[in-house]
Amino acid sequence: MKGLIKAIAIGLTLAAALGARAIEIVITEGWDSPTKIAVVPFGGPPLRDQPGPVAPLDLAGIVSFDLVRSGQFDALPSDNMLSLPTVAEEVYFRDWRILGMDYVVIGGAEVLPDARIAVTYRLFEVASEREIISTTWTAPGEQLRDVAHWIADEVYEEITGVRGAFATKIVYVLVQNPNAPDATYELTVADVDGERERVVYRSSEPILSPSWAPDGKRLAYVSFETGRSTIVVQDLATGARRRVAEYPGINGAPVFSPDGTQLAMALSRDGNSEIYIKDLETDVLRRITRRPSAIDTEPGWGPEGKSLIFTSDRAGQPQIYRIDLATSLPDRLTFQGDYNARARLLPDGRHLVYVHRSNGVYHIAWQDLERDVVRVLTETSLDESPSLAPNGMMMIYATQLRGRGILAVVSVDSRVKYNLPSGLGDVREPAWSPFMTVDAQTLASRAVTAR
Amino acid sequence: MSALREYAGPVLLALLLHAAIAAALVRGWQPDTDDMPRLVQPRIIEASILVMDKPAPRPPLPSARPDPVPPPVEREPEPVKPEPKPEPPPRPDPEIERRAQEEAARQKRLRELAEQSTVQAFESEAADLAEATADAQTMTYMDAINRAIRAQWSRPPSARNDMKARFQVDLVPSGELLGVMLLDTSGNPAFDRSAEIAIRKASPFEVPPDHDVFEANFRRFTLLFSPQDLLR
Repeated sequence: MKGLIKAIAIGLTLAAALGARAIEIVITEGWDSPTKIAVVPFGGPPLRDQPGPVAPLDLAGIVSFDLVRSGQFDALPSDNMLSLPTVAEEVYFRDWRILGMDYVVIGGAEVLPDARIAVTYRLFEVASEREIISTTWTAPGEQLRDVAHWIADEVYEEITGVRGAFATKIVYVLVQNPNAPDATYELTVADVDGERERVVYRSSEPILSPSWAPDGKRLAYVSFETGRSTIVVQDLATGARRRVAEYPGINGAPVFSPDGTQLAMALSRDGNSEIYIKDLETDVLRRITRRPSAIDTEPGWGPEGKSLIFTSDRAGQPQIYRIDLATSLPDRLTFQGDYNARARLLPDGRHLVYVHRSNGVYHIAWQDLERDVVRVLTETSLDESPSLAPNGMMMIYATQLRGRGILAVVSVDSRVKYNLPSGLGDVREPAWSPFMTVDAQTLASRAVTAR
Repeated sequence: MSALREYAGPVLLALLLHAAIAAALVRGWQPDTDDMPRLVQPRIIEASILVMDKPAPRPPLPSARPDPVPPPVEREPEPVKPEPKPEPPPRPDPEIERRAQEEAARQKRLRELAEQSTVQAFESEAADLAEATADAQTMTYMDAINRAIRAQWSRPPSARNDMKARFQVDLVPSGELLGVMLLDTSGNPAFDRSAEIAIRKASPFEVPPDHDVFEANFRRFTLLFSPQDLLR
């Protein structure tokens, strides 16, 4: 097929070439490979984001590591660089061309009189010898890691055309001493590179299904602190917690609506598990599914909150369904395999990821709803809890490594896979945060100095 | 005296032998000369293989190889071959049968000659050939440029099938890039940039050594980037 298209393309161009005597060459295929980038160590004084005898932060290293983790970039180790420019005049494009680089990032930092730090970086394209963007970020020292991730986000978006998601967070449940009587459950928030872990809630009872509010400032999760399942919404800045669902039976799988005002959940208060939506301001509960004979659970929101997807065994085994909230009409989305569950829609509303069982092994699958194509993304087994990055490019999920729960990340094109480092204990139930807006209170500011 | 007579035989033999070798040498060179065009032809075959090479994602066209010129030569001889054939309609001349036979033999030899001699074919239809060569050259080099750029084109994840970015490319006769200009944007700056980088990285391009062909088609041309092979 490809060959045919190409043959036609060449044929057409040839006809045009021989007829009009003005040729046009049509390129219909490419050879996609990671973009080669060099992030040169930034100039300026050694910087630390926390007091005490800690190693200075390597801003360029953080940027570089972010880009590499996306799978779309190959970063040049600084040891292999021919020069280490920190200002534009020192960039010799010939050197970077010899090294095969497509892009070069240089930068530097300075400490301002008010103790804030100004970090300026410049992105150059080697082939055309052009500066593409240059920006200065000003922020307090404790936000330096954020600054590095913001820089990575900008560079990523500039080159790929896709918004970067490096300055986002993940939440997960870390189980210390699993399978022991004194097991503890720690709801933990960290940067997506695994840094800056922070326990936001600790309990001796299980914690399940954490999910982010769209503003990234609140979490909803299931806690067993009262002895039975309870849905809790917690404010991350203040730590304030509110129990929003304590109905008889199961209270599970809370998910914030895209506007953050409602929570979809699975409740068994009316006999068996059904999907409900609770308004967080008015506390009004609305039942969405009505199938007393089937288990309906694990809701997820469609774009703009107009539909819900959920798992149901109404056809005999778990499959994914979608229900339009205006018409309440459900339609089945998955047909391959005898077990498909825990689905999440990509931001485009067209692609779906979910847990898929084939030959008795649980994998994460990706499905194009328009073309009805299904691909298995992971090679591990016992994969569960897929959660998408807000830009839809990567997915985090829980899996097992030597009998221990760990977190792994896979790109939705399955080109890159890696495991997140984790200390002791079992890591479960990850959820990737939405895009975090740069908070005005943090004093961070951004100025585009050139473009 | 008797010695002379005694040696006359061997001397004669030696002379004859030399003459024979000389004759053999002279005759022996002839076929070699005939083979010359055939020795050239393998290059033509090589050029064809180059075209078949397409799927290979590498662009490795040694820039200083003038080989690809001949491909048309290979294609051309075929239509030329039959040309001499129609000429000898075996006119049944009852007058002198012997002459007719001679004529037939001559024609046969001529046909053989025509088949072997590409040069002769060239001469007979030089003009047509030149034009066909130019077109074929254009096609060959267009395809080579296509392949060279394709191998360098890494599309960003925001690229979608059927996006279109059109560039104008200016070259110098050595194939080096003089300028790239975006004529029609795809609407996605990252996509446009990926295409421009591919053009720059693929340069210098291999261009036809034929001055006229270069001026007609390769001094300035347009490139349309429109992916068809992406997942989405």
